[in-house]
Amino acid sequence: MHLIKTLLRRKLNWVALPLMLLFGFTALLAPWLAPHDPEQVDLSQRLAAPGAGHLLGTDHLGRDILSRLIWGARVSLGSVLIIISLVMLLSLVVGCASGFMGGITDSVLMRICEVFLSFPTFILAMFLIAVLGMGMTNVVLAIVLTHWAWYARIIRSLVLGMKHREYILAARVAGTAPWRLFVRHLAPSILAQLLILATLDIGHMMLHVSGLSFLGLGVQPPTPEWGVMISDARQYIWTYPEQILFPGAMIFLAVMAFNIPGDTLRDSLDPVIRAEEV
Amino acid sequence: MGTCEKKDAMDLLKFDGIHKSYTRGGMFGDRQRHAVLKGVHLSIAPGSCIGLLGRSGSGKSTLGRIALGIEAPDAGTVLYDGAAIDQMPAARFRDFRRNNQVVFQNSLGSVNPRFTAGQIVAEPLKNFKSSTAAALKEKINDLLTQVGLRREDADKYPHQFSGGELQRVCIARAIALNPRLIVLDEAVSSLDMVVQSRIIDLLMALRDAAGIAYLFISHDLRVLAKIADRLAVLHDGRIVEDVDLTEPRQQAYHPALIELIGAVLPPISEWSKRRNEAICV
Repeated sequence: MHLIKTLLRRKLNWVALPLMLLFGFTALLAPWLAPHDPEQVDLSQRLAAPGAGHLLGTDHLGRDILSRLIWGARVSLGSVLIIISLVMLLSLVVGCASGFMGGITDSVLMRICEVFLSFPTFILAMFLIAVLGMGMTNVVLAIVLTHWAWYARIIRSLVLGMKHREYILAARVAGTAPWRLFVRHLAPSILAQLLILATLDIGHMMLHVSGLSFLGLGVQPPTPEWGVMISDARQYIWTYPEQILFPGAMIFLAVMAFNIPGDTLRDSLDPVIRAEEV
Repeated sequence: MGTCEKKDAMDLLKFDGIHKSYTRGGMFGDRQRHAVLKGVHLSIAPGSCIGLLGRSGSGKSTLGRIALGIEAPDAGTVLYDGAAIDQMPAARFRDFRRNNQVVFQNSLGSVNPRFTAGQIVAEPLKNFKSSTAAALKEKINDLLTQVGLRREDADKYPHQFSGGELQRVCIARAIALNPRLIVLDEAVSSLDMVVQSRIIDLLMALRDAAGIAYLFISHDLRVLAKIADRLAVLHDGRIVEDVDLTEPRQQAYHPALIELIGAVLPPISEWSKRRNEAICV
C-alpha cells in the first residue's frame, strides 16, 4: 500500500504505471488480444496503410503489425525479465561472496569477472552465440554471461563499503548472525541500488535482444519481436516510415514505462528522501 | 605495565600484550606495515570505569574493537573471565558477546537508517532471547524510559532524532542484554556540552544501578575526569600511564599525559571571572 502511495505521488507515474501494466497485460494476454495471427503471411495485403482491417497496417509480408507488436511484447519483456533475474541472482551470489569473504575467494572471483569485463559485451555475446548456437535461449544465456560481471563488481563494492560501517559492527556486537546480518542490514540497501540499476538496464537489455535478433542470431523469423520488426522495416524507412515508427515507439514507451517507476522506487527505499517528501 | 598479577582472578577483561598493525599501500606499491598497538597490557575489573585517553590515531578505537572481539589482534590475547576469547567454544563466546556491548561516537552511523528506534533496541533482544511480541514491546518501552526517552519514540526513524536522543537509543541497545562491559568509543565526543553532561549522568546512573563496567575511550580529559575511576593513557602503541583517580598521587605524570592536560581549554569559571572583571572595569 505504502509503495503504491509513494509511486502515485509523482505525476509522471500516472502515465508510466498504467503503461507498465498495459505492457505486462499485453504480454500475458497476447493470444487473446491479438486480432490476427502474427505469423500469417498475406502478400496481397503487403504494406497496407493503417485502416479498418488492420488497425496499424501490415508489414512487407502482409502480416498484421498490431498483432505482431502484441506478441512481440511477450518476447521482449519475457526475455528481459529472465535476463535481469538471472543476472541479479548470479551477481548477488558472486558479489556478496567476494565482498564478505575477501582474501583468495575475492581475488579468484574478481579475476574471473575481469576476464568477462575485458571484452565488449556485444562481441562477447556474439562469440558465445557462435559457440552455443542460435536461438532465444542462447541469446538470454549470452546476455547474462556478458552482464553479470558488471553487477557483481558493483555489489562487491557495495558490500565492501558497508561491511565496516558502524551499524554493521554494532549489529555484530549485538549478536546478529551472519546470514541475518545480510538479510536484515546488507540486502535491503544492496537491493535498493540494484533495483535502480536493473530498471535503467531494462531498455539496454531489450536493445541487446533486439540487436542480436536483428543480426539473425537471436529470435528467429517468423517469431514476432520488436527488434526484428525494426530491422525488417529498415528498407522501407523512406517509403513507409510508419513501419519503423510503431515498433520503435513500443521500445521507447516500454523503456520509459520501466525507468520512471524504477526511479521513484529507488527514492522511496531511501528513508531520508522518503521523509522529505512526506 | 599497569596490571597487577594478583588481580587476575577478578578481571572482567584483560588485554595481554596486544599487537596490531595495518598494511598501507596496494598490491603493486611498496607495502608498509604501520604498527598501531605495540604490546598493550590492561585489565578491567567488574563494575569499574576505565578511561582510555590518547591522541587521535593512537589506536584507542582499534583497542576498543579488539575488546569487542570484532577485530583480531596480530599477537597477544584478550582474556574474558580468564579465558582467551579466540579459543573459546562457541557457547562461551556467545556469552562473551552478550556481555560486551558498544556505543560508538557517530550515533547516526551506528544505526540502520531503515530501522525504527524500537527495531534498533529490539535487535540484541531478538538475537539472544525468544519472547512474545507483547513482552518484547514492553521491554523496549522499559529500555527507552530508562535512557530518558518516551515510549512513542519507538516508532521514530533515526533521522527524526537529535544527536543526543539517538545516542540514548544506542545506549538503550547496549544495555538491553544487561551486559557486564560497555565499550564507549568516543560516545559523547560529538555532542554539545550540555547534552554531553546529561549523557554522562545517565551512564553513571546506569553503572550505579546495574554495575556495568565501562571502557570509556576518549580524547577529552574533562569527560574522563568526571566519569572514570582509572585513567589509562595510550601513547605510541603502549599504555604509558595507568592512574587510579580515586587515590591521590605523588609521582610525576608521563609527558604524554602532561601534554594532554596542558591542552585542556580553560574551565567556565575562569571565563566568567574574566567577564566579571570586564564588567567591573
